Amino acid sequence: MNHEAVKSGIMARINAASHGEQTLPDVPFYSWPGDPVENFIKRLIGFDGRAIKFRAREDALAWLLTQPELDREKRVIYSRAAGVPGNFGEEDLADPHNAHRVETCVTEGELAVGETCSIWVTDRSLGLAACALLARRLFIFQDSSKIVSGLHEAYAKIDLRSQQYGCFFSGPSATADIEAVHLTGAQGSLALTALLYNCADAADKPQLIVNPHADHSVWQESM
Amino acid sequence: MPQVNQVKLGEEFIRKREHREMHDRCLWAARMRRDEVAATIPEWEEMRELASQIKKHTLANLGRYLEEFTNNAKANGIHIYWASDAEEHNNIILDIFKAYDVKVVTKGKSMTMDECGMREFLEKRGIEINEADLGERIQQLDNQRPSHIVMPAIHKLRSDVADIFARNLGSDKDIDDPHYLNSVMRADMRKRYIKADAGMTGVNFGIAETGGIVVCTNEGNADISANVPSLYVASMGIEKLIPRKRDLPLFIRLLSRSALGFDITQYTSHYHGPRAGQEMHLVLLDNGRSARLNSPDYWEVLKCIRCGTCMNTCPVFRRTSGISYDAIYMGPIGSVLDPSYDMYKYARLPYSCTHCGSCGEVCPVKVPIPALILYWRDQIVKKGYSQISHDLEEAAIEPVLKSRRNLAVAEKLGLWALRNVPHAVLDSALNPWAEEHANPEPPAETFRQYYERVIKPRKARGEKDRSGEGQ
Repeated sequence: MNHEAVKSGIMARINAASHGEQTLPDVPFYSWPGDPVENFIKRLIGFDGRAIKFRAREDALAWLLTQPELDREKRVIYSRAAGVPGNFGEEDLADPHNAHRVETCVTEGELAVGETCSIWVTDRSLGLAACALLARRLFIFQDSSKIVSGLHEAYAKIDLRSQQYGCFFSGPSATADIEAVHLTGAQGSLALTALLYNCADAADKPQLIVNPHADHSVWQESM
Repeated sequence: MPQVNQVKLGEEFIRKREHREMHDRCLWAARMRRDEVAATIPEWEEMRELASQIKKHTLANLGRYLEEFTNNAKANGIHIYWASDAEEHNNIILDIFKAYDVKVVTKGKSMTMDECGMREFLEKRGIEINEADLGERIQQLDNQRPSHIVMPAIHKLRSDVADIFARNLGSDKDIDDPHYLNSVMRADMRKRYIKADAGMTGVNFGIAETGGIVVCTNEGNADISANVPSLYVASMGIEKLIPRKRDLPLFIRLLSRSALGFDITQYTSHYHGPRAGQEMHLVLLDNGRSARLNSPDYWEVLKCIRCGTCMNTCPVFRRTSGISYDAIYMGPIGSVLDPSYDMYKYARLPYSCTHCGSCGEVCPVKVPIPALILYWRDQIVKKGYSQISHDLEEAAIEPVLKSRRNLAVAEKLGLWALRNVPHAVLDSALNPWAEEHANPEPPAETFRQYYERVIKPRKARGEKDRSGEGQ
């Protein structure tokens, strides 16, 4: 097949069309009202994610290392976060298909969005993205001072071309394909926990914030 | 080839009461959520207008933006291909797969690939294609096309899914808990991701300025398909472009809120080249789009961002399901897209419309669907593809609507019929369309009689119009 000839044909047909001058409007910088951190938390638990506030990153780290999901004797852990040791090593990473063995993935969010509870991650923060996508549980450190109000502000700060893969993770994977029943834990992560640090109002004893109405399915535990 | 008879196929679905009620309830809930979430955003209507203008500008300058997009995408390391039609599209992908010795593929949802019949094409040539989206997978296993752009199996009950999974995936047919069914899917797909040689996805947006693509999903299946294998192939209709990065948040903010009433999809993924050790290929598909672009009456259909909100709101679609359209695109947008692929085959679809206008009101990019439905009816009549029954109806209605006197007589006749024809005839049990559609109590007089009695004297006295009162 001569691709140049095909392209020329398509281009000729496209360029034959004439729709006058259609002005490209400027897109206003719509912001999102309210406190970005509180908006982020409210929406994240609405999507069955979990959030926990800390004053400093070291507090978040100390809490995380006590969690059973971080038990290196029992869990396969892939970590991209400073101070969190993993046990899924270089050899395992040679083939992304191995990533299905990862049970816990820990990484750092580069930016987050209050409007949509989205955490921006890229190849840079994820290393091998397959690990974060196939892991059962995700823990993401997020500097709360880098939670912006809305999506317009977020995109203004992101350089899309600096990394091949960049994704807004907005809660654990989900589906509503069977009778529109909202199910958390579709094919990606079953759970996502945002560790928010640099929160001046964090309690002395950090508390997980969860959706009390979430259906934490028994079926997923066996997988 | 026979014409698709949406009325008849719709009747089959309407007769399945449990299915119909679930379908209507789920889609209306999505529509109501859309309204609630849109109401929280003061600039919502302004955003719709801007999105429409950006799309129109892009389409009016599509050649320039395609050049910019492809130049940037190539610089990002993405291999670009052009396909005039479905056959070229499918052969391009087959050639890529042959070159990389691909045997097993996991695939995210793609209307563009569906439009090309790509899965069937590749399966016939020995390539195992695993639909990785739950709804799409259910439909693949049931050998049925998707019934909705965003929720492909929404016309099925959970018990239907339990049955399909039991037959195909060895699950327990008596357990129809959606959580269980979801876990069956998850476990089965994991095995397939592990052995996949290639992954495929569709594309929601292509950004000319950056040469990257954006894919929006909830399940994570598209991201896994794109990131795990060493070969990633995506297909994109040439109309999916937006000019600049700063246009993107506008569309992301509109897409999921319109589709399902949620603020965003769980995964909003941006691909600007292959990951290390991977090859990334992108096929740009025309397949009639350039012809649509050349129609001054019809080109705005290309603004569509495939959110499916027109389906959720459509009273015909909600009751008859997408299956009854027997086409790749269904619902209001399908009724105006499908005839451009085959005007004869889909000539009846633009008549499956009550003219409520709701689809046009909710469309996030203001595709003028109600006007396009009339456009297609006009084309279909001119081509001689309309139904005799429609022609007779129109022939009968024309003298009534053209004459004040005839219309007055028809009104009286209608009122007489409502009072005197037995309900058993009007609401026949044999006609599923009449089920749950009781005729109204006949009013005491026609509107014209009411007007003559109440409104006209009022107007003569110079009073303000208070029509609607005193009836």
